[in-house]
Amino acid sequence: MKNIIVIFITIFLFGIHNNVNAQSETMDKFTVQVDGLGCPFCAYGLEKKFKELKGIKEVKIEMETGVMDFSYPGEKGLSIQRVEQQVEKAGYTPVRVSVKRMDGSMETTEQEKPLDIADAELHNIKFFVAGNCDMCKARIEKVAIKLDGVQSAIWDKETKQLTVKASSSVQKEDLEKAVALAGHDTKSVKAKSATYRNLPGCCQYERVQ
Amino acid sequence: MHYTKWCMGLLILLGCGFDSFAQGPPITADKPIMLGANSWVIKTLTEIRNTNEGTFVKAPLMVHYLPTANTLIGVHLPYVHFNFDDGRQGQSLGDIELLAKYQFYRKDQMGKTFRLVAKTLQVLPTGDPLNLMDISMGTYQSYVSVVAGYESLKYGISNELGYNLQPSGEMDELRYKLGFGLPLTKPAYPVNKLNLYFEYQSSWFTDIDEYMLLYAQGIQYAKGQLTVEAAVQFPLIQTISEERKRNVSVFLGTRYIF
Repeated sequence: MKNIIVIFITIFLFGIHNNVNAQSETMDKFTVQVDGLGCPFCAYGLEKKFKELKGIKEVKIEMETGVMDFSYPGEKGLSIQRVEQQVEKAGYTPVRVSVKRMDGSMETTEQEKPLDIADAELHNIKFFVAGNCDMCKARIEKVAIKLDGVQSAIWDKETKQLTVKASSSVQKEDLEKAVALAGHDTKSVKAKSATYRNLPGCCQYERVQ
Repeated sequence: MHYTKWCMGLLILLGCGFDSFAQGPPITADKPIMLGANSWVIKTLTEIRNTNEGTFVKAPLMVHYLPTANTLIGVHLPYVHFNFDDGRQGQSLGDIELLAKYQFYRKDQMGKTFRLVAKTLQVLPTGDPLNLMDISMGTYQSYVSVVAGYESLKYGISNELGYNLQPSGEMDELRYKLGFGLPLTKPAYPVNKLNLYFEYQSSWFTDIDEYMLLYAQGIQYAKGQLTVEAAVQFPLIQTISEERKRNVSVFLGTRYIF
């Protein structure tokens, strides 16, 4: 009798697990970086606006990073543009939206800045930038892409490498100074202590010696 | 003379230290952040005010609606109880207020925002002519202001500069409000926070040349969609007629957003 109960419970739990997996395979997973979330009430306003989208699930907002994650039924094909509009309607600024579609494909908002020069004249610069989180990523990429002549900037959270595509007028030293001014150490240029201390708690990375 | 008073007031405000600024909605001041299109807020903020004339209570029911992400309209329906030291006492409907706000500037960055809001408050003479400013004047009044605020996960400040007009001109007022707070809990979502507030109101009644600087100390607890708050307000400077001098005001409020 005891064995029958154990088998029954195992089958039941296996069924639930499969059901959850099947459901997650039908959902698109969105990650949205939002600027302007200065307080928890802002996050409430944002979530409320997204709950107008019927079928939305697993909404999670990280206050410190401004990152909102949610799932949405894949068959509805929610577009990145619609997500950006929804953030605007909530009264905030969308920075980047990425989505992992239910078929496994990835989409993301364009992060390239149009430049009036040919691709052949662009060169890649890659170097180490200290940082921890998605908030660091958004900050580092933002200051890098703001520099004149920079077309794209991508910082990898795992390897801590910033890869920049830019015109030949842009030097690695300029980029290092820019990210250090925003509070992030590189191997050659260190951020000022006061700027580092003003970074949010999640961004307090281990200083470069 | 007026200039000196304003400078003095501003010095006190600035002298309180920017290190203490923190984000959150103020209690007696106003805020520039709106909660997104198609949102509602139902609020109360009961004031129990003791002056040299007596003790007065204003308990308004405030309903705010945001048709878009940058506009807000609202109506305030106040219940007023008055008890003058000369024996007059009673209760009535206070002056009904109609509110409109429009956010005309927004600069967002990661974890912080700066916003500017134009605001107007039209007061209808539905209350008794008790000559109690902000409680029951029984006259039309028209208030226009600009609310500015910077909010971040580390710093936050809300302030408001406005002018109140009355047909007689007697209580015309240049008003400046500043509110800042100290969160006692880490900002987190879902909302669950406890904040301390420090708020100032500087009022110069231009026609009768009277001045008043009020300070309010408040505490606020917010969980989910419900917020409860309490504040005690008292005067720091009062160069106004003796009978209108304030002693203390106690504010008790709740707000529910949906």
